[in-house]
Amino acid sequence: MNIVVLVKQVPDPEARVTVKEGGGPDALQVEDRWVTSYFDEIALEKALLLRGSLGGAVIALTAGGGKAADALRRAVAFGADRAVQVDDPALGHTDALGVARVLSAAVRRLAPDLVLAGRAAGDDEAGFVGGAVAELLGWPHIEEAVELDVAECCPGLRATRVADGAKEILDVALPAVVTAQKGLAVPRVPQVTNVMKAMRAKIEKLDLAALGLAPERLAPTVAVAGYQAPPARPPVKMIAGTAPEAARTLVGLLRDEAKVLG
Amino acid sequence: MNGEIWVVVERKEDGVRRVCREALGRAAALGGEAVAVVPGGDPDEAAAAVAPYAKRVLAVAHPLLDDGDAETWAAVLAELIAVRRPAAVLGGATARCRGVFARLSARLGCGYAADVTGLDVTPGGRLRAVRPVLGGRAYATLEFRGPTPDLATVRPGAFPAPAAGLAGTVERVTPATGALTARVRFAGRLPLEAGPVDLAEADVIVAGGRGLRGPEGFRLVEDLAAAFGAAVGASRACVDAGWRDHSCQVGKSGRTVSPKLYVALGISGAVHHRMGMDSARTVVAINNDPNAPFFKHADYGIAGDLFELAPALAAEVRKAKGE
Repeated sequence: MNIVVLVKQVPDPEARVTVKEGGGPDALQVEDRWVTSYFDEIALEKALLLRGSLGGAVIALTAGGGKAADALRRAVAFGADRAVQVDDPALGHTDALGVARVLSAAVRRLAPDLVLAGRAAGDDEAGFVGGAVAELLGWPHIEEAVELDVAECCPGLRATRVADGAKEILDVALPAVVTAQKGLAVPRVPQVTNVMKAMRAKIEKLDLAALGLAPERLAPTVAVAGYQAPPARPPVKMIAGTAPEAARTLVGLLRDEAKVLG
Repeated sequence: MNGEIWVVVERKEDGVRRVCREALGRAAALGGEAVAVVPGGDPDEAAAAVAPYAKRVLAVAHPLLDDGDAETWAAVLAELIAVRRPAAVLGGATARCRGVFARLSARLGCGYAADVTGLDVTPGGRLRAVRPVLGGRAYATLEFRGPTPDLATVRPGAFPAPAAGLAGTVERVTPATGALTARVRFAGRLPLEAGPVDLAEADVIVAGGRGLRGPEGFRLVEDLAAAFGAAVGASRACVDAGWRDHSCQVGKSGRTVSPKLYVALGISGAVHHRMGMDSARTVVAINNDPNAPFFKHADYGIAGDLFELAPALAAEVRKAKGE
């Protein structure tokens, strides 16, 4: 089974984030520390496990320039067979829908049996690309899978999804898109030698022309008008006393001041 | 807003998912005509459940919609949207509706804002959405361009849920069956370990961390949650240690929640955890360690012995609730 894994390089969750006064579209400042999105690493690990039991190739795919290729090197260090980067100036002015169009065009060219991706990227956390790519390919999609294996009943895969207050068991025929929730696999820590090797790995490059996509297809449908800092919480009120006293004081404050009881 | 604002309504047992009621309330406040669109289920039951919350209800009946696969929902909704041309379509930021809206956006070429916490209308009559990015450490304001309808899913708890009180008119719609293929087969559905209250829509969450020292310590969390009528959450450390199922995990790699009250027992308050709950209205941190970082990000804090404080608090909550 050949698997394409969609990967994205995102700001490190611990990178410092500040929003400048005035709050315009350029007000967001993020410290220059990057990681591969956590759920994408889970998807990648699962792809490698499936390759181990079913054979085939694992192809990492990303869209974008600059730091984007680092996600591919990480994927190669994990053990991916190929790394494909779509890089084009038009990607600098698009939105998530444009990225989904680019990725789906690249997937169509790579013609895998399965696309795996994280359930959401660590930066915008929209959970958009998996479903959009499935729609653009005309494929079924299982969101937020926590288990995935070959179905015993029929050709295809059986997945377990835990979402919206229930656990669902789903069968899907291939080709399909499956997005990874925590629990699907535990991402490995790649060996240093593999990380070194990945630095020299070949990255296959594609641009819009190679994918037969006109730049107008990347015209954004949403645009950031500005950024604001999150609302600040007032300073904490520390409550002293014995356990029963503190509990009584807290319940009084929750009822009369915060008005969240009753 | 000129034109109709649709809200895709998900059912829950015999009622309506709360986040969908919250979206209906917000839609009605945006000035257009709010219409509840209910895919699947018995149309009579759907109409009875939803009509108290919307002036108009479209009950869309087809057996393939009942399982709730995003592909069939999106196919039917796209067909209705093309004919009736609403100005905007909203839904809850549930796993299901995120899948449905991603597909709608891709299919229709319309802009989509996921998991929004603010919604209003521009002078030009388009939606304007505010949504958290980077784990809630910044909020982005998004404006829509290109074809309509403007699409958005709303974060549970971001808007007040209106009380029942309307008596909406109900229209039944039967989709053209040709558009429907079910390619995801539902082989089973089971309830979760998380307990009787769903984490994503809970008013109150009581969450436990490493300070509970082991899975037995979680009984304190469960008992306090029962006193509040709350859902049970857990920090990553507890989930990774196998004390709780990962469906309970709150944080960057778990659930993002916005309850009215979040009570953290023995959670240090690392940035990864706070990313999942920072939009809670009121935060209480209880920790043995007076230097726990959570105290800097809470409204109320108690530094002391969890194993004494949690039962004392449960008793006080029960007393306050008159139990």
